[in-house]
Amino acid sequence: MNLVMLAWRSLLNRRSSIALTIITIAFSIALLVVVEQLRQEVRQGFYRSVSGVDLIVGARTAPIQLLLYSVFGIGGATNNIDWQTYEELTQLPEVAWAVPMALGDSHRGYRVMGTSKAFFDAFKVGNQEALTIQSGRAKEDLFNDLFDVVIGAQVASQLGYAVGDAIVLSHGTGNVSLQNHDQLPFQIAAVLSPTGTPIDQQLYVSLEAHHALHVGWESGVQRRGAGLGLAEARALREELQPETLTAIFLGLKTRVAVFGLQRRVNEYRVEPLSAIIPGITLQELWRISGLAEQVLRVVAFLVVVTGLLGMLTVLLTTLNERRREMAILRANGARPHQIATLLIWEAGLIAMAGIGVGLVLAYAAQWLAAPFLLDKLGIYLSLNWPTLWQWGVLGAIWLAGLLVALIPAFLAYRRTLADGMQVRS
Amino acid sequence: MSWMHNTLLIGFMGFCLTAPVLASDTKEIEWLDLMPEDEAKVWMDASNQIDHTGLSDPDAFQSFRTVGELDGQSVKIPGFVVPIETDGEGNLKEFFLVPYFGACIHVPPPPANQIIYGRLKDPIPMVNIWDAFWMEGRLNIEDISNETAASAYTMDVTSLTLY
Repeated sequence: MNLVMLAWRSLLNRRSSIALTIITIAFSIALLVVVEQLRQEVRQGFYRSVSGVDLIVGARTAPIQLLLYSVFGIGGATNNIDWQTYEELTQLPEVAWAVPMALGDSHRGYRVMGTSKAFFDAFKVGNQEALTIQSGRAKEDLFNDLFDVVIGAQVASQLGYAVGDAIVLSHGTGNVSLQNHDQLPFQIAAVLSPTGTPIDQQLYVSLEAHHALHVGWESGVQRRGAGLGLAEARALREELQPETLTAIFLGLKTRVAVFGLQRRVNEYRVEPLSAIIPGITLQELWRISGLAEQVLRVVAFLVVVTGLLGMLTVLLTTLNERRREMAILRANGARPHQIATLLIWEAGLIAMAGIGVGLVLAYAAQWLAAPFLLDKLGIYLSLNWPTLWQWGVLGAIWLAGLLVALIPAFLAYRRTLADGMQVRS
Repeated sequence: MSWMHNTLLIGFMGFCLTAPVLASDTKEIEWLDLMPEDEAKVWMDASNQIDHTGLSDPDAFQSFRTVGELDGQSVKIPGFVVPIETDGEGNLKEFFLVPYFGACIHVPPPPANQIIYGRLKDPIPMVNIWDAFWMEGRLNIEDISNETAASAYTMDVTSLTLY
């Protein structure tokens, strides 16, 4: 019988305490794997969120705030900007395209963005991937009717909407709304393909429609009978150009001109504006949110250390109970170094089993949590296999388990030399 | 455990960022080398009058001309990374290399010929924008020919290493 088999049989003999040790390690490994995978997904989703946009312009505010409300749909703008500014920006020689956006309304907790048709072509995600239509009308036919609404993939799946459904938008951005724009229902013209970004969690209407919703709201609440009717609004479409916008996405003809233009927008004297380069602000934001990521990582590693220490405790405490076992092995011709190796193999098997069970637990947990995470946090868990780096970490943990076992192995080595067959009590 | 993690991490980063064997004809250049000599002279003497009134008045000293001899040369230059495009997994793919970090609020941004548009053939894990990097690769002059610029520097980046 070789040492590994012997180690296995010995473990089976003490199955309850060993099973507990394996479970401890398994939980710590599961935590580590889940944290790593979540971290990776969140990071990916984060950097995927905006591409192809050279500058984002909004009212004067902190760069991170502007990025949060224009791209991530978090928080609100401190102020709107004038339509005149938008016109002026579009006419600049270095500007290739400008996409306006107006925020402030929602539909059952999902944000509504008033924008132009150009948004669907200009705004990109991930590796310069354009937005695509999952079902419904082609991009060039969107917003043909004033009350067309385009919805993100997650909005469609969570609320069970399909092309052709009629929906009512709400005033404000609460999860539940008490003030609905119910005299102007919208019809879903298209559903966007999933992108794994905040795009999936928004609804898109034309700027004119967004403006039409707010006719009669000038004093903060809707005046009785002051709103537009559907037919009335459609007839007035040409005149429904909004006076203010929340933010503008800009694409430049020459990307090197971005610094100069950013500077000029920030120094614009007509109204206070802020312009941000998304890549820089994403990094600034990640510097803050990435801290939580690092803390989670450290905690997960500490839990793994605790798991290994638990294994050490079990090996050390059982060592005393196993003096007779060791003595019998010695009497049968096992050499002290073989006894030591036996203990290391035991630890190796425990750690291996812990890692294996931990991986199963981690993937089961991710599989179970995926719908919830998608629904509540908009995080896509794609259940990827562990990366090479993660396998490396798991391998390192296994080796660390072997290293930890050196302590009981050394003690056993010493004792088997000193102890006789007789257990002195 | 964390030492192990760190060692692995550093090893991994090293793997991603290590320069391929340094070509012997790689020339180390400075930012001012990228500006045509006559412009550099004007630029050094200029006291910029900044007009704050509109969006279309160019305030900064805008220099869009490039130095022709640098086209196609292998160069090495230090600077800061401004990420522009990432791949689908959040790795850095395209960026600007600029001479200093952050838009200093007191002076205009660097002129266009003091910016290099870097493209990485194989995206690397996102770098820290607060660190300076040595960028190495073949410098190209790209013909842009629109209203705002005639040409600009781009680079096929072969390596980006910590300064």
